[in-house]
Amino acid sequence: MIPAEGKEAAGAGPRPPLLAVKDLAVHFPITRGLLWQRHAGAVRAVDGVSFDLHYGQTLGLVGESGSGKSTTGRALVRLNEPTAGSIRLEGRDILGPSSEVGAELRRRVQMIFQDPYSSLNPRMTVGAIIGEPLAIHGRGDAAERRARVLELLDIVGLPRRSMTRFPHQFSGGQRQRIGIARALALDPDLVIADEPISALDVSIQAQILNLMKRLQKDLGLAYLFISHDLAAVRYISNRIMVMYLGRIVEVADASELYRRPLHPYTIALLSAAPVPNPRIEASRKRIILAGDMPSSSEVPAGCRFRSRCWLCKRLGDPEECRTREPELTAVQRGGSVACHFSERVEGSLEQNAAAGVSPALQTT
Amino acid sequence: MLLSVQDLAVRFRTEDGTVHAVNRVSFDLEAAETLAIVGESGCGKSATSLAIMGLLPRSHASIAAGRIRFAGTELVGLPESRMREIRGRDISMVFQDPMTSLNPVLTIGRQLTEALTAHKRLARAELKARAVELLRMVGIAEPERQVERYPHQLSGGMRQRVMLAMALCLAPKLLIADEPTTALDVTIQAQVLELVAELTRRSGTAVLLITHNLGVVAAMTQRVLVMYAGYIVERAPTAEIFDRPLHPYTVGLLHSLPRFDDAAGDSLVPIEGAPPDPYMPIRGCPFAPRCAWRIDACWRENPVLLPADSAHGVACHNPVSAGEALAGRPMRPGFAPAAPPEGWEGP
Repeated sequence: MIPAEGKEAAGAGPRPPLLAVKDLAVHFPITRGLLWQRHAGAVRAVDGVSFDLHYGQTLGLVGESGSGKSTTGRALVRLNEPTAGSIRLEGRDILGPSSEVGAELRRRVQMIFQDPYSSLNPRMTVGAIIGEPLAIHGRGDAAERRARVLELLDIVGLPRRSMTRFPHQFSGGQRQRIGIARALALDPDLVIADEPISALDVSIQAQILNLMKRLQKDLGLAYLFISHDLAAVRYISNRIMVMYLGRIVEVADASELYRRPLHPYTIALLSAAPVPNPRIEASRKRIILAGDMPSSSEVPAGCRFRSRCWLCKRLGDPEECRTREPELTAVQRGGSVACHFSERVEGSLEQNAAAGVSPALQTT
Repeated sequence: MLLSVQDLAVRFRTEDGTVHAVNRVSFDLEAAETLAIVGESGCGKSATSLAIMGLLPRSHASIAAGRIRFAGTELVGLPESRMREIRGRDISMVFQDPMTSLNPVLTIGRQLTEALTAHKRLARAELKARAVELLRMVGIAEPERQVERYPHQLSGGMRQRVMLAMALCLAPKLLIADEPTTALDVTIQAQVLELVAELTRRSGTAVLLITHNLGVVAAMTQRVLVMYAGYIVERAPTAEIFDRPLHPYTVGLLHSLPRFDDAAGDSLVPIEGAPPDPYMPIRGCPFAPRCAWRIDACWRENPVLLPADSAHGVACHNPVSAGEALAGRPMRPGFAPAAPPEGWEGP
């Protein structure tokens, strides 16, 4: 079992974390045959993930496609039904039978999506889209709802005349603002943002990131920010989890993760991303990972990253990596890492070079 | 000079009106050089590359003006039969989504050999051997098995490698790569970029790299053109664009990028507003409505691209100073962006 990362144990403090996720798994069955569907295995999209999310904080979740990061986010609002594990909202199990907790979850945890083109109903006016959660939850009368929608438009920086318009009349960045306004309608505590900026142009991405930061400050929101963009995640997150093939392989405070990454995968990920600085790029040595991520229907034995791991190869494919799955273990500086040989990473050339920061800068 | 584009203008006719996709675009590309065209969606970077390849959709797009000289041949107005000879043999192209450029019902091997036989006569056994060799060259494991497979059976990264193998199998003089890694994960992107660099270095192929990713620009290219609303607004050697940007749009792009390679906590300075409506005629500088440096002239007159020094050019009435480029905002006492003139209708 993986210890819940971060605080000692859930419930030890005066106030439980906003959301406590323990051993979460989401498996999708693979069936064969047309009439008599046989169970032929499972896609283990999320395979034992534990973390806490705290009030007013941003937890970043990075990983490549197929890592399970989106499935994790969707499981928290039960868009994907968890196969195992527990999710507690302020200490209360949301996967249990109580419908009260379920309703509370739907109010207090909201989601914004990657594609602002397909996540908004094209036949509804912007006012109706933003006001819909209020109507569903029976908040106020029509006039009060209208006032709230206008307020939300102000908050996300859209003109009030947007109310009567339709989504297609807006640009990508504006549509994402509409999605955010809708997510905020019920005054949530937590917003799960699944790749909220990756469909947007660079100049618009920065607008949305800054808007999300401002909203967090003004409204005390917590975010789970899911992205493949390492730089964007660093900009907005307090703490960051790195996912690979259904598991969290490293967790650390945002600045620590980039300065002293400890998992060979985190290092490879950072080293693979080109930075907008030609001088650094000219001298940078990348760690090129061989091949693709294995399929989550054929999770390898031992360490999941083993087939592509540069450290494992260097150490001569040790027995341990082949046979035993490393657990997420707390390390100094408040992070956790799931690697049998992370102490070999500490201080290595690869670790130093990963984020493309000169050694002189790193000590500051 | 391998490629010389002069005053290129591309128009798209649509139901809603004419889009001036590319306007007075001029640039040169030397043999074995890698040049980036940077810009956001709708800036005209892809239309420029399609014009060079002669692949603009005939039904509704046209080259309204300009010349494109490639290795001594004028490409504008060249008969399709001649253009087809040049495409593939001398100029190749890879696109963002390899799935749309590969034929889903033909095996990988068949498609590779098609690229070969279009320009050369080879025996069947030799073809198969070449296809296997090409896949090996782009780092695909078990190439003998992969040539028998279909595109959907490969991962995105493998498909993009197959595209590269096809694009580079005839050692073209020019490779046009339009967002070649945008759909790929970052570890796969690193594989593909390294492959492009290695293969082009070996064959002396020049690369026109079209991208929105400034990290990729920094890693791969020697020179950069920055495009906005169909115009080149700045051109410079790659190091200069990052060290000493002159156009407010370039500065804005650089300050819109979160980064992890330098001190944390830097706040982003986004470019406010959105790109201009492509159907609206442009009056004045196309960037003026979003520009923090705009002066009165910017509302009236679209600035032309003029040399700031021998290699660096900028199209701006009020270029950014070095200190301002660092800060990402104007820093002149009492300066405020010029208000739009009476009767100006904003986007």
